[in-house]
Amino acid sequence: MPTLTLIEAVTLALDHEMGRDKEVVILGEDVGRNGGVFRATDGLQDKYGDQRVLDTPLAEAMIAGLSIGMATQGMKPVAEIQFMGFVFPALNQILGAAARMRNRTRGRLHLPMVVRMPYGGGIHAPEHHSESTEAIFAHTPGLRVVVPSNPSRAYGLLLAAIRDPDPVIFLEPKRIYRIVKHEIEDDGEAYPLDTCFVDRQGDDVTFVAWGAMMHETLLAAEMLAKEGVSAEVIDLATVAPYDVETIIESVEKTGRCVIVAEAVRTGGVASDIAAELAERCLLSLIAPVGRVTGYDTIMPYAKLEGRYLPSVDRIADEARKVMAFS
Amino acid sequence: MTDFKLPDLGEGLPDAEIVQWLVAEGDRIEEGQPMVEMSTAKAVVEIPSPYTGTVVKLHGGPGEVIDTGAVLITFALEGEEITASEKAEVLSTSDRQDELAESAGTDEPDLGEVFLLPDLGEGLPDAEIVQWLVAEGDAVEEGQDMVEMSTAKAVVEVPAPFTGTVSKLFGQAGDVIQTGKPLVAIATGAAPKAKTDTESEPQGKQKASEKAASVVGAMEVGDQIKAESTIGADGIKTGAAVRALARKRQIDLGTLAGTGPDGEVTLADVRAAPDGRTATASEVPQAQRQAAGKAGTGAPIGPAARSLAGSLGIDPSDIAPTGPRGSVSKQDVLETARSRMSGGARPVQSSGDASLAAGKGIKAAPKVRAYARDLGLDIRAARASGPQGSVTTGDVDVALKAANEALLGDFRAGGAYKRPERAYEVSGRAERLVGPRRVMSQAMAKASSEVCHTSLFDQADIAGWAEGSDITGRIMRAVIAASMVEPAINAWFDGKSLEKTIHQEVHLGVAVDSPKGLFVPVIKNADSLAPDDLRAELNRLRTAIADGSIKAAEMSGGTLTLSNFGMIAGRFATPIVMPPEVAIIGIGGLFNQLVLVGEYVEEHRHMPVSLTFDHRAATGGEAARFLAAMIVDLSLNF
Repeated sequence: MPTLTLIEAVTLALDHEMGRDKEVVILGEDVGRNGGVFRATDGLQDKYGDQRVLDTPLAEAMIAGLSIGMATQGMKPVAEIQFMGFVFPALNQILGAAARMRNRTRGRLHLPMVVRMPYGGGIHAPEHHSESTEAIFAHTPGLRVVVPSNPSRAYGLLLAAIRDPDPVIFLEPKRIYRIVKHEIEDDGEAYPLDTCFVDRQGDDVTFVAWGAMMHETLLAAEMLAKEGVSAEVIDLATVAPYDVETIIESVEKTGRCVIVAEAVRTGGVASDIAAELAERCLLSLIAPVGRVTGYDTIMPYAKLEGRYLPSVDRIADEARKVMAFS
Repeated sequence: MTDFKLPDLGEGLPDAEIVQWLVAEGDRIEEGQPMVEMSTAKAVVEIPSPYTGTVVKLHGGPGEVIDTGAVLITFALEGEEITASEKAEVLSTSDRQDELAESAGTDEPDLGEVFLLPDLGEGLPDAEIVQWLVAEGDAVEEGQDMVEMSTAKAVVEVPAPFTGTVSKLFGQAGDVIQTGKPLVAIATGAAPKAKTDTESEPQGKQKASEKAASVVGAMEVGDQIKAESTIGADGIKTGAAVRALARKRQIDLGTLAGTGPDGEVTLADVRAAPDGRTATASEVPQAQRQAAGKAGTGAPIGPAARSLAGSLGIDPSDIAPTGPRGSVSKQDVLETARSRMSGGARPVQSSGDASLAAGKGIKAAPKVRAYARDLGLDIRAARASGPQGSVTTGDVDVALKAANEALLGDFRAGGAYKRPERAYEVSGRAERLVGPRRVMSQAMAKASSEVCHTSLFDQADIAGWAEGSDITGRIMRAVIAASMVEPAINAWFDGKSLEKTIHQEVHLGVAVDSPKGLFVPVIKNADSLAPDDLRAELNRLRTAIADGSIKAAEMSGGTLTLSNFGMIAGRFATPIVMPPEVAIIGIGGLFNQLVLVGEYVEEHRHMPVSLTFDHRAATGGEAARFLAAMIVDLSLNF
């Protein structure tokens, strides 16, 4: 079995699905001849030709609009936005058209399309290359928002996203593109969507994280284990619609929950999970629900991004805070 | 011909934008003659010609951004002969850097492998060297970081593509290297290999990019191989995704025979199994699951009820639940507490704010009870916030304050409120401004449109002043002192001629409020008057305003103005600076503030000081120094 990084797993999934399904096309800026800004589509144009791997002009609204058009005709476009910060011109298409097409046509049209975007900070890039605005998409009914946290999940979830009959926003945490490798068999087995993955079992506190933050959160859980705190770690994976049942079940067991997110603090997915727990889990909670997040500021430049992003220490500290309640 | 490269314009900035050319191609130019206006992020800079000669080529038009170090202009020096072909060559070369880089790449045969700057995965045309991590002559290992390159989007560490010895660095920190151009040469010991411009060889470019393909941004790269599948507490080897799918489809993993390596249960195994073989946790009613959960062995209980039970020393599992979802309510907690009271004791009140429990049942230290008794407060009125639900002295204070507030409320309700009478007659009609008010209106509008107002606020601790100090006298003294420490504020500025006059004397204008309007009499040569004379002169001018005998000459020529609005109200302000003056000082109302003195808190009197200045004429530093000098002078206790 090959050992692959997250970005290589993305390429493998794209390659697999293009080979399996002739309706799958890839489009975006520099995805063809250049192989993609992060090399996600490296070699695919050579393999499948420029009719199926399209270099587009620098026009995100057009990339999204073209994908919608293709999808209405039964194709399965997989669009790439170079950085999540560049998606804003395409929001009118994605939020205003793609998310609503099924509803608007009363089910007559649906859009089997995927919009892939590298997202999140930690690579010393400018602010609009570093932010985490998944809440914008999660707040829009009709979109599925999926974030893999390791190479296996990138492969399995991207396959599922492409096969899904409706639009999926596939956010790739670029900081962990190459941080670990997984042995991945190219068996075409898709992972289930709309479900959390429990990565570590524990009794004292439930961590919920997604994307790159899973890396720090698992390290924090290991650190806490040495202090005698048993942490359960849940990878949200599908950020919208998210699997609240798994989280509730875990929090009913542990009585404490800390949510870790890279995004700004206010109005985010972390806040939403905390609200669900307050409504549905109150009687099981021993401590207030904790959040470890970025701050309500524009993502800072390289020198400060380490302070902005939740660190292992900040995550562990928040867990110690909720552990003070008994 | 001679190239002039864009120098660092003193800002350490990477580039500058051409605003406009002041010369044209073919023009004769003298050394020192301005040839171009360049705009950096901070300023527009005129660049003088370094040579005398003729302009052959301008490398860029208005609006174009030129990198620091890139060629800006090509000259023919005086007396230099230029052939037509040379001229044509210059005019046709759009980017001299290309040539330089190319010659560097091809003309040195003994360097070993020349590594070309790969496309750093951004599709960008070039990247800037941030710093070299190796030097010429260093041995490098394949994969070792050689250099930090900055693209417009990220800082990228470029690893060595092969093991060898660095024979040449094709640029220094700050240099911009184009994609596909030589970056570094490494002698590998193998036969040297000359490389040519790979722009015309896509294959070669692909190769170069592959060598550094793992670097985009300062991205952490790891070789650690992690497993997605592990053996869980149930002894089943599988991955989290398989468990999630099984859970979703209500399949007990224990009933499946894994077909993966080492009996691992795979996604396919779960998909092959029929749905919902056995009930899983998600089918168990929530209340039941909660009962088994962490929150307690008894019925579920909300945080507020749990906290109350804790403060009353009751174990929640001993309480009979009557709340929603089978939970223990606060009422349940109180009922339990009540039933535990010995007969004859007062029943526990609900958690209203008056009392929590019978005086006998109240937890409080003897000294707290004594404190409440001395104040005439029934301790049952205090709300317990101390350890184990005990009443603290703070709680007694809060209860006493609430009792007093209630009394005060009664008093206010009973007293007769009387609205003030209108202070003077008003006509209710529009009336044209005359006299000082008209002058003020016009002068303020003009000054406000002309001056670049900037304000600083601070406060002086005047706790050390002797009883009965002359406040206005001290303020005037401080203004004069500050004019010595930082003369730049005691000045006139002419916005048209851009002339600034820093005065040797202080002619201090003092804003005086009068029924006729605003007057600003000027104390001439305030800096040479003794304190008593200063005060006497101010009093004389005030009297002159009051009786109408003030002369125009007595209200002009000021070099600095003082406004003591705080005598009426206001703490900080941004009054208008009246040109040609450069600043106005505002003094706000005195106030008391708690100050940490060593380890003690003391109540000190403070004087707020506002300094508004014309930023066309003075720097922030000058203004701040002036203000600091005032604060120091005001804070002196002598």
